Amino acid sequence: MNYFSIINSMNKLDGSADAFLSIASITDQIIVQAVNNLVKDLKTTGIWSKCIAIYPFVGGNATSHRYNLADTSQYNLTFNGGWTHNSTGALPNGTNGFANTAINANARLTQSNTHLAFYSRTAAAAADRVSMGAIVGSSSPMVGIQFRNAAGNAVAQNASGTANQTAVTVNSDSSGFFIGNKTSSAIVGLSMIRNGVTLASNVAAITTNNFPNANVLIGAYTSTTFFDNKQVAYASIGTGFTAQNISDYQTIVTNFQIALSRNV
Amino acid sequence: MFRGILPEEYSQYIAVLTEAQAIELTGQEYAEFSYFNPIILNGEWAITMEEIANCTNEQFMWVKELPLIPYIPAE
Repeated sequence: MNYFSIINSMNKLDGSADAFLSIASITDQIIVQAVNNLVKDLKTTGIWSKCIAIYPFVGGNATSHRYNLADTSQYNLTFNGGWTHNSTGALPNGTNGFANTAINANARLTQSNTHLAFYSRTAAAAADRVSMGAIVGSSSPMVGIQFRNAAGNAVAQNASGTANQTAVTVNSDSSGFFIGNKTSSAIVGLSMIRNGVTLASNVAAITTNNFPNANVLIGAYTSTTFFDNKQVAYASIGTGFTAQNISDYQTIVTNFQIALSRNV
Repeated sequence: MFRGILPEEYSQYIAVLTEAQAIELTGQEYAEFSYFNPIILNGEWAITMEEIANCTNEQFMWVKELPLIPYIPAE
């Protein structure tokens, strides 16, 4: 039992929460309880087992922000380019900043069963930026989410590179909890969700189910393109969610942000 | 604040690099778990104010002396 385990044993911390808080060197009791409640709620609702990676962005610095709550031994973030870290999350500069999850989309994501989730604290102007995604080149398969692109649309995509396979709709506010959720290749199998509400779904069956042989990035599409300028206060990557999961996830992440006094 | 520039003004400036400097910095840590990402901006190799101001790697402290030029971020 480590130091943090002893300190926190009186509060009966979940083991996963304890491991994360220990490696991230977080002792602030508000954060400790918020993370503990987050983990317990995610496990109770079955969302936890659907996440390869969970990034709570707590602790206020690059070191504490990098750790994967779902498994601190893998898929921890490395930050590249310009970022600003503080207690409300991590803000890429929109010029060259991105975080590498080390999750290879082709190797780790499940075809027709995927989610990308991102809690954005920034209502930004419309611009071609990608908050999470992976792509190799313009003709490669792609997976990603945008909240307010240059056309003013929120977009979830899992496209072949030659066929534009997306869930897309007009969206005027890039802040909130966004989920790109894919549960099948059929019509309405891919959805873009904001604050628990489905904004759009694909209107044609997705015939190409490829993923790029590239890591999923937070704050960009590649190391040189589509840099984002939205502060991230939570993100996760994993398999697709049911409607009940979406509802539960919205409540859980909202409560987590409220506990940390950084909800938008 | 770094060299008289407030953090909220960082996006308005970049530091121009030579290609050799860009190659030297690429993939190198400027702070713990944070890496330089030189890219081409306005036709020049450059890094950003956040990388310069937050650099704590003794090997690359020379970036803090790089000349800064105004930059208008894309929207």
